Amino acid sequence: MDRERLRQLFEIYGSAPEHWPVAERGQALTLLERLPEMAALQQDAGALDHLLDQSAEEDVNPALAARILEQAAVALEALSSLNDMAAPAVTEPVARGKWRLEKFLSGLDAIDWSLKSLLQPAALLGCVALVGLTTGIFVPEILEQALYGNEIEEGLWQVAFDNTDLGLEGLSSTGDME
Amino acid sequence: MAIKHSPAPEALEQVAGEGDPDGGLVIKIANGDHAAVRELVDRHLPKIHAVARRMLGSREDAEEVAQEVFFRVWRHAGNWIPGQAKFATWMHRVALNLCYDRLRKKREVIMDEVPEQIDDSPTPAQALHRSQVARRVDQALQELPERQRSAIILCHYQSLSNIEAAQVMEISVDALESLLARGRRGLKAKLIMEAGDLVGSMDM
Repeated sequence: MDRERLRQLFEIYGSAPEHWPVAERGQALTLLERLPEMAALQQDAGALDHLLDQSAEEDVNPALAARILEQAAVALEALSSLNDMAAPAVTEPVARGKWRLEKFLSGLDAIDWSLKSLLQPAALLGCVALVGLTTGIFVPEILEQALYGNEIEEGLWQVAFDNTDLGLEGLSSTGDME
Repeated sequence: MAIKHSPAPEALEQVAGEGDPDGGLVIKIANGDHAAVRELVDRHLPKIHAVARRMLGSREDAEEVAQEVFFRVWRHAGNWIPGQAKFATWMHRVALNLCYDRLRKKREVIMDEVPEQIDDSPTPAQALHRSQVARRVDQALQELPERQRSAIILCHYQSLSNIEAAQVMEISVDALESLLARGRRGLKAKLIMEAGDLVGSMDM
C-alpha cells in the first residue's frame, strides 16, 4: 500500500472503507492516518458517494413477493408430483401411462402461468400434449420452447413422454422407430 | 428440474451453511420446505429487485426480471452443489444476465425513455429536491455503459466485495476495478461537473 494505491482505492471504490478490498483495508486506513493530506481526496470521492446514495431503493411491490411465493409453491408441488411418479401404485402399462399424463398435465398447468411469453390458455397446452402423446414426435420440443426457451427440463419431459408406458414400445421419445 | 435425493440432508445443510449463508436454505427448498422458500425470498428479493431496477431503469421490467430469477431458483434448487460458489453470487449473475438480455433487445427504447426523466425545472439550483436529485442520479446511471453500470451497482449499491462482484460479472478483479474507475469518472462528470449546485445544496 502506497500513496498511489490509496488514491486508486478512492477512485475505484469510493470513500467508504467498507467498500475497499478486505485485504487492503487495514493498510489503507493506516496510511491514511499517516498522510492526512490524502483526506481531501477521500472527501472528494465521498461527494460522489453521497450523490449516488440519493438514488434510493424502491420498496418491493408486495404483489411481486406474493407472486413469487405462489410460483414457488406450484413448482414445489410439481416437484413433489414428479417424486411420486417414481413409485406409482398402478402397474398395468396403459393405466400407468394415463396416470403419468394426468400428473404431467397438472404440472404443466401449474408451471406455465408465471411467464408472460408462454402460450395461453393452459388448455391449449393440454390439447397439444394430448396430440403429442398420439404422435410422439415433436410436441415435446414445442412445449419445451414455450415453457423454457432453449432450456430443457429433461427429467420432467422424459418421464412424461416415456412411450414404453403407453404401449408404444419400439418408438423413441421423438416418435421415430428405434 | 432434476430430482436429487440426499441421503443426509441435515449434514448437507450444515456443510453448505458453513461457507454460504444460503446453502442450507437451498437444500431445504429442494426438499420442499416452504418456510425456506419464504426466507430466501425475504432475504434476496429486495436486492435482486434493486439490481434489476438500477440496471433497467424500469420498475416493471425489474419486477419481471426478479420473478424470472426466482423461477430459475425453484427450478435449479435441486441441482445446486454446495461449496463451489455462494448462491447469492449465482442469483446476482442470473439477474445481471437477464438484464443484459433485456437491454440488448430494448436498447433504443431504453435510450428514448431516458429524456422523459429529465428535470424540467428552470435551473437545478431552484429545484433541489431529493426526488429530483435521485432521478438525475438514476438517469446518469442509465447513461453509463452497461458493464460500468453493473460494476457500480454491485459494488456501491449491493456492497458486494470486489471478489464477489468480479465473480458475478465473470471477470477478473483488475477488469472490475477498471470498470469501476471509468464508471465513477463518468458519473462524476455528469453529476458533479454539471451541477456543483447539486453538491453544494445537499447536506454533507
